[in-house]
Amino acid sequence: MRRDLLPLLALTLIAALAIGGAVIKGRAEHPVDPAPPAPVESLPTVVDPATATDPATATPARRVEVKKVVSPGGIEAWLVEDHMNPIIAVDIAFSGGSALDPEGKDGLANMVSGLIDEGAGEFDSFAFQSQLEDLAIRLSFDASRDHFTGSLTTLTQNRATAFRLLRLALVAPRFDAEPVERIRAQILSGLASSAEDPETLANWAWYEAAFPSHPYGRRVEGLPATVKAITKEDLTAFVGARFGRDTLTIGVSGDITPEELAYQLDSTFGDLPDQAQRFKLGEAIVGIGGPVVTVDKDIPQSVAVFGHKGVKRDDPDWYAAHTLNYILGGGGFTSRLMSEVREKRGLAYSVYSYLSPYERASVWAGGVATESARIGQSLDLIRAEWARLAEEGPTEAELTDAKTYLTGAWPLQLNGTAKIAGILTAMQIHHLGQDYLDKRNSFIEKLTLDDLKRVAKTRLNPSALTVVVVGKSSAPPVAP
Amino acid sequence: MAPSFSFSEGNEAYALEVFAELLGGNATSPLYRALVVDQKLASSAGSWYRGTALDWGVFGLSATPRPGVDMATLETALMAQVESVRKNGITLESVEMAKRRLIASVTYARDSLYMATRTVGAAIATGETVEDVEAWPDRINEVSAQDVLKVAEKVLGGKSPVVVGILLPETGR
Repeated sequence: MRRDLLPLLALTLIAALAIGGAVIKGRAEHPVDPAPPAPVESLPTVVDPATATDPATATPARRVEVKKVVSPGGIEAWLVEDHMNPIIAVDIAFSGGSALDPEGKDGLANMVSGLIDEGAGEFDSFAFQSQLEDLAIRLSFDASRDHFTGSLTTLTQNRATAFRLLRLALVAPRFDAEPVERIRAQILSGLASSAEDPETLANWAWYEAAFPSHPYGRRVEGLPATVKAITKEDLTAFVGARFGRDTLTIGVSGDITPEELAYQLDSTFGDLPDQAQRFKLGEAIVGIGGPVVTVDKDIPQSVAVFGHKGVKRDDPDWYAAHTLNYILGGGGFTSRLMSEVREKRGLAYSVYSYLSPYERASVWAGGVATESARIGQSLDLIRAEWARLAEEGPTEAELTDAKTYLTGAWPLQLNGTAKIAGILTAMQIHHLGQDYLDKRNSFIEKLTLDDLKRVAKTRLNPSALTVVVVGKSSAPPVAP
Repeated sequence: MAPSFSFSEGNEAYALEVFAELLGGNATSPLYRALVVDQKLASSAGSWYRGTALDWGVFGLSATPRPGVDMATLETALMAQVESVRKNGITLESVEMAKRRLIASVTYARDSLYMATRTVGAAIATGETVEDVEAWPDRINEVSAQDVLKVAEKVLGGKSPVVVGILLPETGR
């Protein structure tokens, strides 16, 4: 296999992580992409619907069995054992993410995620990273609004070192001055380039407008001033407060037996405090409508983000909403938004919608980019499609196509050891049950047109959309 | 510009894979250490090689300046470090470590259906065979420090065409 293709693999894996991204050091800037966490249902896929499997036969070639492993010390992990390839992947998540960052220290969780693999225990940054590199161990951490996540992938032969380094990163990070300042510089440089990126600006502004009085409105990566204000004491305090066995969720996949995993769980996570610090995060109200928020930026195109309250992952209507979203703007070229805005009128290169469920809110949102003079027309069309779906619901044919795609694409998402570990963690976080991998397609298949019509009517409301436009404010919106 | 898998002599393309990995393939590489960690001129730095091509391949160096560092300073430091590694850093040990990392990457690539098909497809499209792809770990393993020295001289010794691209902020606003 070619090394020159591997960055693509890394990107595929990052895109696929169920509840977080990853930090790739040395190859790229510290990522500051504020993309919302992808729930298990909305993993990006690159599957042509035309070639998707018939739902009647869309069972995985090998049955995937999810085992619950509980260590002698009482630490639980979900495991998909697979000895075909000598790889082990571990995916972990602690409850509590950037939404808990202290006032004035926005970006703390994110900064910790870039630093705990930059020196821990007896190893300084260079010694720690050298072991990872020399043994081809992939270890990365990330923060989202609700979680602090970690991902470890190792060849079976190097697992002892891999688990040891994961343990050290969690229980004994050093936060030496050199890596702290280096990663801080990377984050600041990433923030500076994000401030020039209209999509990122639109996303930041949308969250600020939609969550004016809730921590979800703040940026995961923080602001330059708050990132500069973070001290070593803050970083250490975060680790002491957030990492506890009671808020830890673990998914494991690959070449490891339940017996060995039980041993590794105790040796890796046994030294964490029994309990993380209690925290309270209030339910968030997603802001309702109001005038279009404009961020002035001298660029040839304008970028818009629009959205309102969504459907939470544990809501009984989740699968209906997920399927509706595929029809509205989640299904690439087959979606209604794409058909109306791009295919029929050539107004935009891309237009899409998505559901982002958080612990304390859910968002049903979307985006479009087009030439500044036509952004108003595009937004009117989007509102009209939003309204048409709410009033009339989808057609029988749209429902059938959506089911075929969503059920057919599902087994393809279990491609890759790290992906499976990530899905196992997400399944536990969202309380989807140990048999979810087998049952998931039946939740989609049993949906009726009436289910979708009811959910469309009650959950889609174009007048509640908060709309943010980044672009030249001098460009007058064109009336439809 | 650099030799590619289909456009090279002997094992040059394999030696270039090893050299790109050894020089700036990760956060403990000499390039990253010098520019990012020690001299603090860059926020990231690395080297890469793309040998899957019908014509020339590409050996690339990249660095992003930290705020306030001008590009001329960064470029000079980057090239100085590349020269230093080329002259003193290609050792038996550094070559062996780079080879180990490259060979381990095969197991990871096999883990993904997409990567396996893409790798084979790209190889066939540029004139290689499935056997070439399967033999890749063995061919990497055969690369010697002498091979890496030779190919580094060929690509970076001043005889090969070089293109420098710098992305600057727009001015005059």
